Amino acid sequence: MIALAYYVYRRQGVTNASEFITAGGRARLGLTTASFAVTWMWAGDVLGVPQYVGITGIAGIWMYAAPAVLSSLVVIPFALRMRRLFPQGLTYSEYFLERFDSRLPHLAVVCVVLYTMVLGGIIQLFVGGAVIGGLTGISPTVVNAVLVAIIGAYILLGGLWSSMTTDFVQFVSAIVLTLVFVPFLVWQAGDPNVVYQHAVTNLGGQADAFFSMGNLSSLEGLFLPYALGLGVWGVVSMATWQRVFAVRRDKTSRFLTVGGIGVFTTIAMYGVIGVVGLSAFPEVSPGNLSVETLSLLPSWAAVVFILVTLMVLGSSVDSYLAAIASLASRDIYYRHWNRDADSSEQLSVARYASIVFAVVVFAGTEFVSGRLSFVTLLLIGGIGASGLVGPFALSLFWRCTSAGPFVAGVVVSQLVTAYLLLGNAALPGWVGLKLWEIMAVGHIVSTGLTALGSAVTPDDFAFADLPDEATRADGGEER
Amino acid sequence: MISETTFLVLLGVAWVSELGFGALISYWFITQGFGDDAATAATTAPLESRRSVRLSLAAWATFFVVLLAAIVFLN
Repeated sequence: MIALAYYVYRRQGVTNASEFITAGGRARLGLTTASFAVTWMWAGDVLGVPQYVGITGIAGIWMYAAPAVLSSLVVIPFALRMRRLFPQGLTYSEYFLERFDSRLPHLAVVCVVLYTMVLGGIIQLFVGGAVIGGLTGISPTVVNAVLVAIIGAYILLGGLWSSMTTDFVQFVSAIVLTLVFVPFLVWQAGDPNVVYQHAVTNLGGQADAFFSMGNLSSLEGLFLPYALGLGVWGVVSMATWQRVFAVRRDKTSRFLTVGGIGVFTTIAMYGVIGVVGLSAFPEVSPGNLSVETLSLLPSWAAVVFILVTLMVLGSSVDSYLAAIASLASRDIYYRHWNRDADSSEQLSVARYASIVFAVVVFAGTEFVSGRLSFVTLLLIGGIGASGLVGPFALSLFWRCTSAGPFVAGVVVSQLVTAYLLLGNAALPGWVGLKLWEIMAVGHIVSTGLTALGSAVTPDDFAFADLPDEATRADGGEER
Repeated sequence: MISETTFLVLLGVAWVSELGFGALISYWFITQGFGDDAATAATTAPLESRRSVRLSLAAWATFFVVLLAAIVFLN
């Protein structure tokens, strides 16, 4: 991967911030779509999808996949609007500096994006280390340290170009993995007919529900919290926006559509692992179903499977790391620290930031291990998404959206949802809500406060003026 | 509960869809390469056409109709 990154670094001439952060806005459709899709394929999917199938049957496949797919759909109107108003941004958060007179909205957005991106990196390592460690017996700490060192090195070289190029290799590997090894696993368990018959026998009275796509018994627990959190994650994820700004403008909705729907097919293939597990390991708990089922593979195949899983893990972590480095360089250093920084200085800052945040993500992963569960981490990330997406939409499509209510909506919703999620009955005003209800409260508070406040103290923003003021096609220098 | 035949069909559809997805992306990459070397910034590229956006939305609509149909009818 490092060698490949070096080749791309030389070939594409990554010598300014624009190339590092958004691949100069000239990445081709195939490369961008592969990168987008594989960023959404988590190493945790190998564990998570079979677990969902183990809990609720084949309906677990769409319950797991739909939030990720939904995220790609939801981001399309945002992406099309942004690329009209802000044709070649480097980070989407810079839009808020142009949209509002105050710097506060930008600072609020940067804080949310920074913690969601760092958390995203931590979640990837957290789950990936557990998966690889579980399959190999190697300590997750060692897995994570090696992975972060490798990823940090290649992001340092080529930024988004490195991330996207290595993503393509990882994408092809992941596709081959599902096309070859999942059927291989089915035949290791007998054949598809045997898998079905054994699973039905093992499930007994539960077979009706487990082999029904319409089994909605786990909708509130497995689907809704993630649909409301992860389902809008794409809108706030800097990794998504880097790819939106990287691809040519006339391909924006196409890459989001093909990438998003394609992820569903990959997750469906992972679901087959769960069905094989129901057939071959009826006594195993859903959480261990994947690891046990993969033990059906001969050792050489298991090694290949683990290597590809490692690559998929790397693709997501590198995307988050490139995103954080870009945010640190453009939104923090250039926008708030040194407005005189030229493109080459911003590039240097991005490279330093990629090293610093690689260490931060690794240290954060070690810190949360044993303290917080995977689900809690995901939900904390969902809080960030639920607090930002509504105000962001209003700022893009409604000229009356004003700075004060925007900040109030983002900040208050974060505080309210965090209180509801992490609090307990001993705290004043705390109400016990289901996870999906907490996410819904986040959306209602953030969007409602921004809309009501803006109705009372409206702005009168002229969107038509934005492109001329905001376009920065040269890596940062003012026009 | 879906029948054994339906289960086999679903497996086949999933595999073929995954193959199609991988093939399409690989085709795009092989025929287009890494980046548009002639472009200096995406501001030079036109906005996406309405037809292209409508095609994308039609693909999404088809996807969700098929998914909903599966949820409703594959019981």
